[in-house]
Formats: sequence, C-alpha cells, structure tokens
Amino acid sequence: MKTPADSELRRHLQSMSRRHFLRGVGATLAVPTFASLMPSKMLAATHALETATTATGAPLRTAFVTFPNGAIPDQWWPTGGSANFALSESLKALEPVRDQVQIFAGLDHANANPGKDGAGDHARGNGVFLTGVRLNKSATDIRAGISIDQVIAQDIGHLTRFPSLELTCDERRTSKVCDSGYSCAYQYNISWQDASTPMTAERDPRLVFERLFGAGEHGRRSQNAQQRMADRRSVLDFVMADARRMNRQLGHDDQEKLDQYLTGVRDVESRIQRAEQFGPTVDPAVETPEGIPESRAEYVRIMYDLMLLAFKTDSTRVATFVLAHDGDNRSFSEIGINEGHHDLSHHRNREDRIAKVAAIDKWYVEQFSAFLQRMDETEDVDGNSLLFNSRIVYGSGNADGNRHTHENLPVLLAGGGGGQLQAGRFVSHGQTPMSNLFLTLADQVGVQGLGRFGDSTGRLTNV
Amino acid sequence: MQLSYYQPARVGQTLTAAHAGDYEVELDLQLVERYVDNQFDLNEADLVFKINDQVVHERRLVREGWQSVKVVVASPLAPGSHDVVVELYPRIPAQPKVRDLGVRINHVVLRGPMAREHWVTPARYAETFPRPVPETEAAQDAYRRELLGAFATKAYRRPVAASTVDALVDVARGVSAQPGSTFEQGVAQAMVAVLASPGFLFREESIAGEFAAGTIAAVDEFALASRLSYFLWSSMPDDTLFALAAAGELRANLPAQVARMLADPRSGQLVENFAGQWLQARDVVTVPIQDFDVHLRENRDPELLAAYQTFRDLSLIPRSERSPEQVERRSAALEIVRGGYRSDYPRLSGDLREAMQRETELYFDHILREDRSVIELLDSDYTFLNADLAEHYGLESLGIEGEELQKVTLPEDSVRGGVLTQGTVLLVTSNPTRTSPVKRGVFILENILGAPPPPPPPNIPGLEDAVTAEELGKLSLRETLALHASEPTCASCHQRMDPLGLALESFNAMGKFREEEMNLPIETEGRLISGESFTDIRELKRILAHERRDDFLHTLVEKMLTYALGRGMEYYDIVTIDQIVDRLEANEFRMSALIEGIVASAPFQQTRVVQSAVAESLLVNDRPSVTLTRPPPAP
Repeated sequence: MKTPADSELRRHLQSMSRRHFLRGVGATLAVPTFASLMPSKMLAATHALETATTATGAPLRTAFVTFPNGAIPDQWWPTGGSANFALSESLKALEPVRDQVQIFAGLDHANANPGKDGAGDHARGNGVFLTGVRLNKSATDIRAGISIDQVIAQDIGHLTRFPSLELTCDERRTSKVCDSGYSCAYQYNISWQDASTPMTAERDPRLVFERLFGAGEHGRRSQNAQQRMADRRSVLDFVMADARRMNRQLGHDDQEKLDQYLTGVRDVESRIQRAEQFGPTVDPAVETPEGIPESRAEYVRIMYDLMLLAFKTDSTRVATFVLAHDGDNRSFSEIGINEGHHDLSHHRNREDRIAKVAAIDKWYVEQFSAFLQRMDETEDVDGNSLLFNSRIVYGSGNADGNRHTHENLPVLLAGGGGGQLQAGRFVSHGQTPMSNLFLTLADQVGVQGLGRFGDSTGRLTNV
Repeated sequence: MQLSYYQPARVGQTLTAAHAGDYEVELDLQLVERYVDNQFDLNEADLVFKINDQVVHERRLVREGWQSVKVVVASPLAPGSHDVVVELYPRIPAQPKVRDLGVRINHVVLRGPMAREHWVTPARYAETFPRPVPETEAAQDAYRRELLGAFATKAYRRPVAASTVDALVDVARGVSAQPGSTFEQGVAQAMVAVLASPGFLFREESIAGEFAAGTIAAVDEFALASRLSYFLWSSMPDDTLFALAAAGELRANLPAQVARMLADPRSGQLVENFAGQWLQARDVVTVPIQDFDVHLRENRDPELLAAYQTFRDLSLIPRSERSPEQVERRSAALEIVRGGYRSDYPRLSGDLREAMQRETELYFDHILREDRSVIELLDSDYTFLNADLAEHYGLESLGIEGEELQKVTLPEDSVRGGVLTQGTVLLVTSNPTRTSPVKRGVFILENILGAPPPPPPPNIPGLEDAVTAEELGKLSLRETLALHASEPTCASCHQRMDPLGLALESFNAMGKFREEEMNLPIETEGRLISGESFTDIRELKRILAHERRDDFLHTLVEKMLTYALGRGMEYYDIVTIDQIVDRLEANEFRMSALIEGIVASAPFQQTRVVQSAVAESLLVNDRPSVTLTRPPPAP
C-alpha cells in the first residue's frame, strides 16, 4: 500500500532543483519502484497466502500484455460457436494452445472514448487500458487511476521478492507531450501505482535479468545481489543517522518536511528488508541477456522469456508488458512491411493497407502464442503447467485503429487460472466494461473488499 | 552529418590507433524523416560500414521513425591510421520520395586497445582522487577521511561533525573490503550516502550565538552564504563565499560579494528564473496558440469558414452512408480547407517563440547588468530583436538581420518597449485561438499592480457559453466582454480587469500588432478604476510607470523578495517591502538598490530561533514556491 504522502514526496523531490542529480542517486539508492510493504499486510499474510495460490498450492500468476493500434476486426474475430469456433486469420497462430485461451468479444473501455476531451485516442487507449478511468487531459497535471495489476500487487506482492514486474519493448519517453496534449506518461505506461505515479517499465532485457537474479555470471549472481543489497544498507544506515541527528534540532514545521523525506527512505528500507527476508536470489542456469537485440522478434521473445523466468522462479506473481505503446509507428521490415504501423492503421479501407495491418496483428499474436507454448511446456511446482497456473490478458486499448474505437476491444485471456478459468472458448460479453473482467481477476487471486474498479458495473461471470 | 536515402554517398574518417590490439569501433546513427500524414515513403537504402576497405557491417535501412541505431564492431587493429567509411546505396527502383528519409551519423568512436595492460586512469580521476591509493590500512583510512570530509563539507555547505566523517569512512571501508571491490568504489558509495542524506537535500541553517527560543537571530555565515548563492546563482556557494563564511567575514563584505556575484555569469540564473517565473517568460515556448485560427479571426474568409463547417458536418455522417453528392462536397470542402492551411499566413514557429523568450530575458538582463531603473521594465525606447522577431512585430523598417537578438532603439511612438508589449507576456495571456482581455487584465493586476482580483464565483459560464456562437461571431471581443460584465456580480471585478486587458487588444494572440479584428476596428481606450483614462497601450504604460509607479515598485519588491526567501509574503513583511521601495526611490530606482535592499533586509539575514543555541532550520534547496517556483537548472 502506498500512502498519499509517498507520491507527494516523490513529486516534491522531482520538482527540486537537484532532480537530475537525484535521478542518478536514485539508481543506486533505488527510487521506489515497487509498492512498499506495510506491517498490516504482513499481518494479513495468512489470508493472502491462501488466496494468491491455486487449489493445488502453486502460485497463481497474473500478467497483462498490450499491443498497439487495435486490430483489423474482420480478421480478428473467430467464427462459429463458443467451443467449436474457427480461429480467424490473425489468431491462427493460437491453434496449438487454443484449449488454454479464451477469446473475449464485447468488452469496452468507455473512458477511452473522446467524450469532452477530443483527440488523443492513442494516449487514452494506453492509459485507460488497465485503469478504466478517465484521464485528465494535460501534459503536466497527471491524473489517471491505479491500474488493476497494481491493485493485485499491493495485495499479494509481499509474497514474492518483487511485488510486480513491468516490461516494455518500447522507446523510453515519458516527459513530454505525446498525443494531442496528453502527457507521454499516459501513452507509455499501462501500470499505475496510484493516480499520478506510473510504474515505469524496464526495456533492457539485461537490466531486467540483473534486477531479478543479480548481475554477473551464473554461480555468482546471488552473491552479487546480496552484495548490492549490503551496499544499499550501508547507505541507508548513514542516511537514517543523519536524519536523526537533524531531527533533534528542528522546529515542528521542519520536522514535517524531514518526515516527508523519511517516508521515501522507509520505502527503500522496506525493499531491503524484503530482500533480506527472501534470502539469496535464485540463480537460473542461463546466460544473462546482452541488452536489446537487433531483431524485433528476438527482442519480444526475450522479454516474454524473462516474464516466464520470473514466474517460474516465483520472483513475482504480477507482470505487465507493453509490446509497443498505442500509436506506435515502427515499420516491420522483418516481415516486409516498410510503412509505419500507425500510418497503416489509418487504412481508409484500402485493401493493401488492411492486409499489412492484419499481418502485423498476426505477427504479434504469433509471438504471444510462442510464449504461451513455452509457458505450457514449463512444469510448475504442483505438476501442472505454468500456463495452467496463470491468467494472462492480451489486448489493445483501441479496437479498430482506423476509426479509433474503444468498444469490442480485441482481448484474449490465456491460462487456466489454476483451474478457475474455463479456457478454450470464444465468448461474447455483449457490451460490458473491461473493468468488470479486472474485478473478476482480482477476486480470483484473493483481493478482498474491492467493490468497484475503474468504470466497472459488476463482475464478469462467464470467464 | 546526414545522408539521404535517395543519394549514393560515401563518407569517411581516419582514426588513429596508438598500439596494436583489439579495439571497438562504435558507429552511432539516427534514422530521420519528415513526417507527412498518411503518405508513405517506401524507399530503402543499404548502409555499408567499412574499416580499411573491409566490410564490417551491412544493414538495410527502411523508414523506421526516429530510431537510433548503434553499431559496435570488434576489430584487431595495427598501430597507425585506419580508414573508417560509411557508404550508402539507394535501392532501385526508387519509390516516391515523400518523407525525406535519411540517416544521421552522430559519431564514430574508436575504443581500445581493450587489453588490461593498456587501461589508463580516467582523465578526471585526479579531480576526485588527487593521490595514489596508499598501501597501509591506516593510511587508507586517513585518505578516506580527507576525501570524504572535504566532499561532505561541500555537499552540506557547512563544516560537518567528526562523527559524520567517521560514519562515512566506515561505509567506504566496508564496501572496499568486499571481494572484488576497490578503494575507489568504497569512497564512491560513501559519496552516494552523502548525496542521499538530508544534510545535502535540505539546507540546514544555524545561528551564531545563544538565543532564547522564539526570538529572532541572525543566521550564521554559512547559512548566509547559501541564501546568497541560491538567490543570485540558483546554486551552492563557491570557494570564495565559503572561505569568507569560514573566516566569519562574509557579513562584513556583503556589498562587495553581491557585486562580484552579479558580475559572474552564474547570475544569468537569476535572470532566467526570476523573469521566467514572474513574467512567465519561459512558458511562451509551450503555450498552445493556433496560428491559423488566430489569423482567421483577423482575416475573415467566409468561403473558407463555410468549407470548414461543411467538412465537419459531412464527416459526422458515417462513410458508408454518405451519398455520392455528399462525398463530392466533402472532398471539395477539404480542398478549400487545405488551401487555407497552405496559404501564406503568419506562422508561430518554435524559433520565433524562443526569440520571444530570449527578448524578455535579455531585456531583464540588460537592466540588471547596466544597473538601469526598474521602471524601464514597464516602458522604454529599446528592446532586443532578431530579424524574425522584428518582422513579426512589424518593425522591418529597422533593418535587423540575422538570428542573433540585438539591442534595438525603437522608432519614436512605437507601441513596443516594456515587458507588457513583448511576445512572452502577450502570448501567455492568450487563449489558443484568440486574445483574452480578462487574462491580460488579471496578469497586470497580479504582476504589475499587486492587486490580484478574487477568483470568479462558481458556476460562471465562460465567454463562449455566455453568448451563442452566432452572437460571438458577430460581436467584437469588447462588445462580448461588455455583455459578460453587465451582470452586477461580474462587473465589480471586470471593471478592474477589462480596461487593462482591452488596452492590449491591439496585439493579437501571437503578439502581432493589429488594428482590426473580425472586420471591426480595435478600440483600446479605457479608464482605470482609480480614475486615470488612456487611449491606447502607450498611454497606459505611461500611467503605470508614473501615476501607478508606487504600486508597481511594491509589487516588484514583493515578487523578488518571495523569490529570494523561498516563501510567501506575510503581514510582517510589509515593513521590509516599504524599506526596499524607499531604497529604490532614493537610488534612481536602480536594480542594484533592489537586490542590495533584499540582501540587507531582516528576513534575508535572520531567522526565528527554534530551540536553543544550536537551533537549526530546514529549507529545501528548492524553496517551496508560493507565487514563484524555482525550476531545475539546465541539465
């Protein structure tokens, strides 16, 4: 749980004239990336232990993956009935795992529609996707909402070394104005710790790996991670001593200022405690990735693999992955498409352009399917597959990229949820808020007392 | 250097390797394009990277947005010169060249030899570690103490306790003792601890001597040095200030130090930050102004407006339901609208916005450096212009050339001169498509006259909502405003704001001078609530600089004192403000009197004692803002 003071402090720190410098320090002292651990959660651990777990005692994982610019509807939606559906062209690659996937129709994000806010459907498509709220249209006054992955992470995150993992294959750009007056924070982040604090995703596979398992060669990573933690501890002890020295000499107002600062420091401390509590990191017998690969397919594969590895080692149970932000305009020369994805998505019903967008949609699904297959081949602690013990939402915040619609979004739900999900179906939910699905996912992992989320109108029952 | 996808090219450079060995050659590229909506550019080019005529890397380039590409090639090299060449071959057949695709070569770097025996000490190593690392543990600890004591003193901007240095030495020693770690890594980690600690992030202020809690006492010399340097430089004290404070001689030498600090280029921070915040000069770069819409208001084109409307109306009909006639009308309308966008109207470029920001900064800088009267902020016969800005202001006759802004004497009776007629103020007080006399009036009340109006009562409709679109289209802004202010509850405030704002109506939302809008003549005359009447902005400026001079001086002092103290003004500051205004009046309103007056003032020199003799106060380096906020310095 985050107290409001945390984000306030962070904003405050960011506004300070030393902010560039602080950012550098943050890399070492660690700008809080993960939700802090509150004592109340520790007390609640027994409840959560039961609920973040499958019936057979395996960890229950949750992931959200987004692809940009919607999909060509005609080539996305399957035909046929709920169980005997025929996969469409864009989804064909899911055939090997069709029994483990649900294809959902009729899920909407009404808050991504323009309403009074006008242009900016890509920023909204992205920022609304996991939050379900209306974004404040501004480049500087950022107000979204907590995202569903963070709702879950704040409830069950104390069970793992990392409460959540945020991945992206996108460029890093978060400080300027992006889409028609929306801050780039909306367009590049799907995961939000609170209304004003996005969880910045990591884009370098090497850094993801080192954060999860420690730097260096196999066999030395645990020690390196411990070492890094000990270094941080020594910094922290000094900082706390200096704060105590100062605090003894302060007036009331100034003590409050110092206290705000200390709230941020305590966040770091709780991460160190968490690391100490979980002991040495797991050290997988694989090579550390070398940075961002040249090939797009390779890049996406390696990020999916890191997610798989994090799940398999139970380093975290919650992950998000932005394949590219909504509005992304990269070319796909690897599959012979030299036009930009976003340029093409405004196809104006020209056949050649539609075909190219569909090919890109299909390419993304192929990468996702390959990941699901690897998840399916990986055995979990209870003998089931990792995929069986997961819930992985795959979707886009735009439905039809040509028209910028946000109804009937292309959404897949993969995995068996440890037996809670009726996988292998094509289900239409009519016209239902996407947020309803999120409420159900939160329920199933054991989040208690979540009455509403985003624009939810109830639970999605048929999943 | 930039290469085009459409032109064969060969560029090269000679790199010199000092020794034989394994090297890395890094080629840093950025793909560039000119964005054209919904037009594709399918051209490709093959890039070949060669070292000494050997192909070491090849890649096919397609349109890839603004992707950056880094190619690192490992290569053994002999001592001597090596030719590094990039070749670009357009692919045949060429496609339509729509987006000016290109590749920019940022740099080529030769790194090596990589073998350990060739490793060298980093160029700036000695700045942090002036001597080689000693052999014995005791000598190492002494060296740590020396390095970290000096570093912490600098970071905390005051002498640090021995116990603090002890703790830092412990941190450094502990990290160095880890396997694989070095002496330097330990010191670095201790430095990180300093930079993360409250002693660095906050400003600790001590007082000199023993005082009872609740009394007011002078801050000590180190605190004074920090107050001074953050006010004038937006940065920490330099060695001179620190040495004076250590010797207890800063207070006795304040005027000389203020003069020295203002002469130092770092005082540019005061100009940039104070003008940037008080006059919002820095906001001009980002304030949303639509140049085409602004242009349309002054150049009504009924055909274009009708086409605009037609296009919008027909676009609402789903494509599949449009009749052939509608499709045709829609494309015809679109053609007209496009023609409008392509026509020659005054553009508000990024360069022009930046020139406006510089104008205000140079203007303020000039008054500061030449120690001119602060009244010139309101009215003067000069300003700073480059060719584009001069043209924008309608001052082509001055014959200014080039991009560099220069001091210009304005023609007699020019409407320009003074900050109120500069692009910065005129733009940041406008709406995206039109001027806002209300915003401009509020700006003058708040920032020049120091009499901010109360916020509007809730549920007041905006100007556009108060009247129908049709009415709004017919009325001048003055008439619309009159309508708006006819309500008694509105009128009490609008009587104060509107005349001020309407006097600036002769400048459009882009800061251009104009005589009519929507085919109606601009009327600028008005009367202040205090009784003075004027016919145009020239006369209003004279009224502000003379009849309302006292109001302006009080406001300016208040704004700068707020900036210097990092806190809002309180009732008890009135005496200080009056004293500084008196000082200005006794010194021909010179800028130096304002700054020296602030530095000499009680709130700048003193603090309230919190506990006993060792009472300390905390101030965030970046003072919490009240009316002014302090920005981060340039990275």
